[in-house]
Amino acid sequence: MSIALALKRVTKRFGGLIATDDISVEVKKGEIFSIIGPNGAGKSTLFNCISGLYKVSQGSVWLNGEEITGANPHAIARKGLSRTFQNLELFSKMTTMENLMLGRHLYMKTNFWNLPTMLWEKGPAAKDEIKHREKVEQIIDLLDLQSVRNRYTSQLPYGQQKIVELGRALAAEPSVLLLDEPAAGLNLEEKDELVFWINDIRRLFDITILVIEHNMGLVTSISDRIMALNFGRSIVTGKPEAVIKHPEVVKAYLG
Amino acid sequence: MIGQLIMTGIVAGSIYALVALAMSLTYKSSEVANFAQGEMAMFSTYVAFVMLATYQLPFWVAFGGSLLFAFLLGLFLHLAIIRRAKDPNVLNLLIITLGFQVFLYGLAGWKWGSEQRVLKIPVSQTETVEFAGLIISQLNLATILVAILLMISVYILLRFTKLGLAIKATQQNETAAKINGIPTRRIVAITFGISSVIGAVAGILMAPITTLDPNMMIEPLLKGFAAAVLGGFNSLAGVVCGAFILGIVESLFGFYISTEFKSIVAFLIIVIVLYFKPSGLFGTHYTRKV
Repeated sequence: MSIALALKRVTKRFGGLIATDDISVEVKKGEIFSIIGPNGAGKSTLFNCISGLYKVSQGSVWLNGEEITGANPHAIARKGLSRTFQNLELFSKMTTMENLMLGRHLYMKTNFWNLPTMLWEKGPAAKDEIKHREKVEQIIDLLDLQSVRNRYTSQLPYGQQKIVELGRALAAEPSVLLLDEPAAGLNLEEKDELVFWINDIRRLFDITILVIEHNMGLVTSISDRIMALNFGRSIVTGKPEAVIKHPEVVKAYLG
Repeated sequence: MIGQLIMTGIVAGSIYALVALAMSLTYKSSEVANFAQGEMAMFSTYVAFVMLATYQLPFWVAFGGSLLFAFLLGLFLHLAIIRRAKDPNVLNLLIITLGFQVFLYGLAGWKWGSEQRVLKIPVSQTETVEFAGLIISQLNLATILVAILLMISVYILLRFTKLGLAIKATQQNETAAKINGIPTRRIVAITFGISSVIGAVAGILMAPITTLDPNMMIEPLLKGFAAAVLGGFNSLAGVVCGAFILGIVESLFGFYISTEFKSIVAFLIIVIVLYFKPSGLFGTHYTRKV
């Protein structure tokens, strides 16, 4: 099985603070891979290093066999990586629909010169728009967002905003999807739905998914493998049952 | 009479609106009010002048060349100067633009001197058009039409194109824009270029009305800035409305009350409006999440 995402000895320092220390991992295509660890263990830093928001201090990052170390976030997005954030990064003055359409931005072709072709149905610009809207409709159906499609995202409940962000990430048709604490702030019902969706997404879109999550029930039910971090170091990587019983993981979580 | 005064106000308002639009565009994408906007426009107008007077090129070539120069000047300001600043805060950026303004002002003064020159354009200032009982010079009519055409273009660009979407996304949430494949720094640079082009159009429209000299854009810039503040800096439609309101009020004030204090009325209006609506007439007030 081929490798979708590989980290080779990734270290990120902020001045004297080592946020992630010498982390190596290979995530296989189609796998759901979770990263757990206490607050400040370096999980989100790792995601930021992968998506290019941080430049790694040492080591390298590989996406689908291609090195992306040090590339800009927008370039990495174009190579098929998409993500959500722990604290939501939505376009708050746009509607749900517009947010999802922005996920399609990298595929859009309409510019000032071909815009007039929007006026007839078969024009290139119109066809382009129709194609993107169809894709977005598919995601709206999947994630049950019909009722909020034309509402500004800043007016939506927190749980729905998280789903919109997930939808926007999916709209980019990524090959690798990073979810940073997707269940944080969701109620029980929403958490159950999330488990279904993550499984659906893997089945329907053929995506590799990396998840950061604190909810152990959710992590163990969806993950193929788990990596546990503490103080920036990788403690153990393996099957969910094995990892959550690992003495160091238990110690890290319980003090 | 009042119709004629309003018409004069609309002409002035068109110029203010272009300047305000230019400032508000860069403000929205980089949170910096670019005070070099006026001098950049003045400099671009001089470029048009040189192409017309020295090289004897046809007007439309000079016009296009000047706009191209303006676009490159805007890119230059962002790529070579603003982007070089290390972790700048808003005040630093403001001072950078003021520095660039002083630089361009000095350069223009050294190259072309402070004498007043005439920019020849193909519409007449003395021949008039009569329309709905109002008399308007060809030049003023052209000013209004060009300004409105440009505003519509900006609207279409922002509303319907891929670039416009990228500009709006960058303005709203830079991190999210990056992660969705938008090269945000390039987009901000292009925004500076577009703003500079809008400013240059204002300069070229302005030069025949007043004269071409290094001081020509100082007042329009202040008025444009005032209009942007009046309308609410973060609403493009708002700043355009603000500019027309300002132009018209100024014109009426100048005729009925006092020509001497005409320039001051703009700032008086701002003080009054901001006292009651701190975000401007049409601006939406928002607080940044920590």
